[in-house]
Amino acid sequence: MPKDKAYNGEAAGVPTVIGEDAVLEGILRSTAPLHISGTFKGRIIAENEIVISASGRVEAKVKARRAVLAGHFAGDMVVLEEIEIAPTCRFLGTLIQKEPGLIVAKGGRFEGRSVFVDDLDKAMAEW
Amino acid sequence: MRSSREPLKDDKAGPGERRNPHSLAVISDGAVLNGFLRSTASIRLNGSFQGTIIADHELIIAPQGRVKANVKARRAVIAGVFQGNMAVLEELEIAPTGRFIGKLIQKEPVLRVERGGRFEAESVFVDDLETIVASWGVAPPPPPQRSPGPDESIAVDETKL
Repeated sequence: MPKDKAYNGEAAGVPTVIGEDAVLEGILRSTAPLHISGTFKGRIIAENEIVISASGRVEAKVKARRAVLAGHFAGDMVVLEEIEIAPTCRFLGTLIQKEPGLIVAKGGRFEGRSVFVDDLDKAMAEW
Repeated sequence: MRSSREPLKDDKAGPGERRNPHSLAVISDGAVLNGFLRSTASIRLNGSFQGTIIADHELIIAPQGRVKANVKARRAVIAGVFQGNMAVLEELEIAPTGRFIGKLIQKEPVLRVERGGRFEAESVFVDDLETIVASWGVAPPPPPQRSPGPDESIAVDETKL
């Protein structure tokens, strides 16, 4: 289980990848971009970007700087900068932001709530 | 702003309902309206509106528009501020200047948010939009064509109430 797997490299360093056939459960923290094509369940802190590709299935509480979602996501997501819902994406849950960063492409399915809070850390404290 | 939008390709309105998709019901900048608005033409809100809207074609809330309402629309473009419940059949576009607060009700995914647009709402999927809309307890919708005039648009242009 990759726990606290962190790269100290640059933001554009080697990405953390969960491949299509991989199934992971646990807590994942990455300072490098994170690409999920497989299945993940748990909690994610992506200090950079999280990408859930079309085959990805994620059920988690996530904090990310940026997110690009093309697969299925269920859970809560705190996004600092920007979240993009691609046409193939299915988002089910709660999106928590401070400033508007949501982009939904035509066909993308956003089901749930989009809320704005002043203090993201406070919102995450309940987790 | 889109003053001359292309007509929608597939207007599924019943016979006689689709007269002139170009015609507009406009609430101008500076106008304030409370009430019930229904149009088979495009509805463009530049001013303030409070009440209930049924847009059989399209609802456009311009950047200056402020709308607090229960809305049912085939298509909607929000460039101003909307607050309330909105049931959308085909597409809801939140423009970069737009702000949507409340609840979006849809059957299939209709939401499109452009960068900068603020969607602060619940987004739900239901099988039957009509039941939801009926539950708002709005006034019974008047028939789209009250008089056999050449143009069915409800012109509220620059009306000072």
